[in-house]
Amino acid sequence: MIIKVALVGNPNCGKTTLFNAYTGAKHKVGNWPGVTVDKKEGTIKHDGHSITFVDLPGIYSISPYSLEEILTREYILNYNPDVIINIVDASNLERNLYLTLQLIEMGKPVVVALNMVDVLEGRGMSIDIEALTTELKVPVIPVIAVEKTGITKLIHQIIKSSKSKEEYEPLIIDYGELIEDKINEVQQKIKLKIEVDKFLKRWLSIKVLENDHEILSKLRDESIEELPVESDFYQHRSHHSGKGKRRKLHKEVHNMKDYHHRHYIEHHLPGKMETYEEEIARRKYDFITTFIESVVINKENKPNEILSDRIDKIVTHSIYGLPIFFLMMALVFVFTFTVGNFFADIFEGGFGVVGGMFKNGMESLNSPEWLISLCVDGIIGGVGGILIFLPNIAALFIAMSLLEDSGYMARVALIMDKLMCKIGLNGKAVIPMILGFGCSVPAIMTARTLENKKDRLITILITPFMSCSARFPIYVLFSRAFFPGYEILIAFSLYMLGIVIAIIMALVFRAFFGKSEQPGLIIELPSYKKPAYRTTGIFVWEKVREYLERAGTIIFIASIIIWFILDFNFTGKSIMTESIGADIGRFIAPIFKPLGFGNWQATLALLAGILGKEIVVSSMSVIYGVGEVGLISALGGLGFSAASAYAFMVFSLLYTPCVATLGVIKSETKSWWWMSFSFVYQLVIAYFVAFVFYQAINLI
Amino acid sequence: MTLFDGKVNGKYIVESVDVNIKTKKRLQDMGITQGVSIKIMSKLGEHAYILRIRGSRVALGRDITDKIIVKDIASE
Repeated sequence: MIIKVALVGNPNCGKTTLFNAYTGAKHKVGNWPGVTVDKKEGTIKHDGHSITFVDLPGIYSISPYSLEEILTREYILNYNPDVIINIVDASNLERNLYLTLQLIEMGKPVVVALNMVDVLEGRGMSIDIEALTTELKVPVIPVIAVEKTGITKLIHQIIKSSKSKEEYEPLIIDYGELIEDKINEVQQKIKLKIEVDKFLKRWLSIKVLENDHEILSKLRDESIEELPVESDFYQHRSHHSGKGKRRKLHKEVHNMKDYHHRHYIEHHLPGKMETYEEEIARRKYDFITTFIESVVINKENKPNEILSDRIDKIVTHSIYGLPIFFLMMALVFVFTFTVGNFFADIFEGGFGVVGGMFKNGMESLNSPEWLISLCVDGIIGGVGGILIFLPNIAALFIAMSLLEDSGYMARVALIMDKLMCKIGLNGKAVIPMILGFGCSVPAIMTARTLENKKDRLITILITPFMSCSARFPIYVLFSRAFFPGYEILIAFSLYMLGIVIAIIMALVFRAFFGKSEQPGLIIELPSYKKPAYRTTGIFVWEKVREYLERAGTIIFIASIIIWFILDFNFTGKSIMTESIGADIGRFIAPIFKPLGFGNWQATLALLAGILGKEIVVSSMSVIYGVGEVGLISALGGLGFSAASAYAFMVFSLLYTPCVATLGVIKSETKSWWWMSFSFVYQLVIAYFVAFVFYQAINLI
Repeated sequence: MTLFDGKVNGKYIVESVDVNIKTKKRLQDMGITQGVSIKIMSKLGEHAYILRIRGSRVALGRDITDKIIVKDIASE
């Protein structure tokens, strides 16, 4: 038997942790709302059943106002899961149950997985499971997802619920006479081509009353013939507007909507009630309030102020908040550099030795010279040139993971909101930007948490300026060669430059797109928690694995191609300066002359770097061999000066995003235009800024 | 009074919320409905408040706090 299970819950309630616990997957979890942006699937076998779990992004409700909410709703309606597991954060029960009630209302069998019961117990409270089960009329299973406690019991309940789904009778919330009458009225008017059960029909009616535009337009497609057209209304309107020709079109598009407005939705209710929509939400919360006191045992024990609140008083302080944040970021930076470099030096020595051993070994085996060159210069040189930075990358992701898992990341949105407002963005836009220091691809996907479309687009367009980990090797290589002793300072200046350009571009885009109505900051702040070694471990390991994979695939292949085009031309084997690679480089190189690095080597490396910015360095390593001393003198020999080296780093930082980033810009904006725009505009900016730096440094 | 006029550690009851439907919906999702009690936990200057609402911790920016009409619980 195949059972489809959807994992639904509030952001940050532990869905992904539970999903990972079941499927053994290693998806990223974090302690801030919005960490999962796409749905993921995994299948397990249990007692002859095949259970497919779908981890959906966290949502607060089933309304049509955010991408995540629409995705979840569509999933439940279209893919028809057998059971919905609603993960509920026990330490935040009252608010979490609001979504629970909405899920129950959809009529599908719901099983509540009450997560984080340990957190609640730590505060001296507990939940009366039996009472909660009775109130909600759905099974409630306590679990601790991080410790995998209770998950077998949950599986058994899933199987049981899916088998008895035909008999499932959901809880029906009483919305009071006035609204119940309206629900009945609407229910009778909805005529669908397909047969749906009475619970779904009730749900649809409630959505109609809530003026849910998605559902209204769906109903319009379904039942347009059955509903009478309000001809007098339109005649009246067309008479007024004098646009008779457009009348018909107008009528077709809007009749359903206006019909609802005029008949179903007498939007303003008598007395204190404002709209049906508001009243329905209030009734749901009221229903929760009726039993919450009796379900949460020892509620009076609840401390007024838990540790998280005290921490917040310091880290989100109006004066200390910002300096603390900048200090944190500085610590991340220093940690990446110092701890990373310590191990990187060991790695580097190792690769030199391996390269040498290979060379000697292969020579003694009388391998052909081209093969030795391919292995030592091409593969070990190129891939090794990147692998030596692995410790720095790992260190960076350890630091990022700690920021995310502790709960601090959500605060950053709050602390930075004031500054972000100044550049016309919301505080939440800072999260993708910070994640951009790691990798632009997941960072750009995170921009989905921004509600406003324009804000989201601007954030997507500026995030690639945040210096990602792939650009780090470039700074290290060039600053070691030209600014020995000042590597940290030089790298820091480039990180800052990326931020400054991002800010300037945000302002430019904002001026261009016009000021969007600022929806204002609304963000839930999760409780702080001690970062779990497991979470950090999984996250960092995944990142390291990705990096190794890249080194083994794209960088490996790119290194071989670079080696090939540098060792051959159309007549066969050639010396490097007469190779195809050199010709390609030489063809473009003059463009970079005003920037100080108009040589074919740098040009070729930059061109290859579009595949992935690490490849700038791996290509350089292939061109000059593994030995760093050789590379430094070679760079000098090319006419690289301190000024042109800095200009090269600036250009590398800002120019065209790598293909993976371009791909995600395409998929997130659903537009080739914005992808091409990113490609071109970053190129132009990189050229301009690098030019200014080169000329300015030369003047000094 | 609006929530913006509230004080740290003060408890307030929401009377109405004067924002557009989309924002209103998002506030509802955070538990802010008519009649709910809100405690101001701390303030980030005047710019944003950290609140306790229905057991959860929510931060709201100024342009929202000054559109939530409340009454002081103590004044009842």
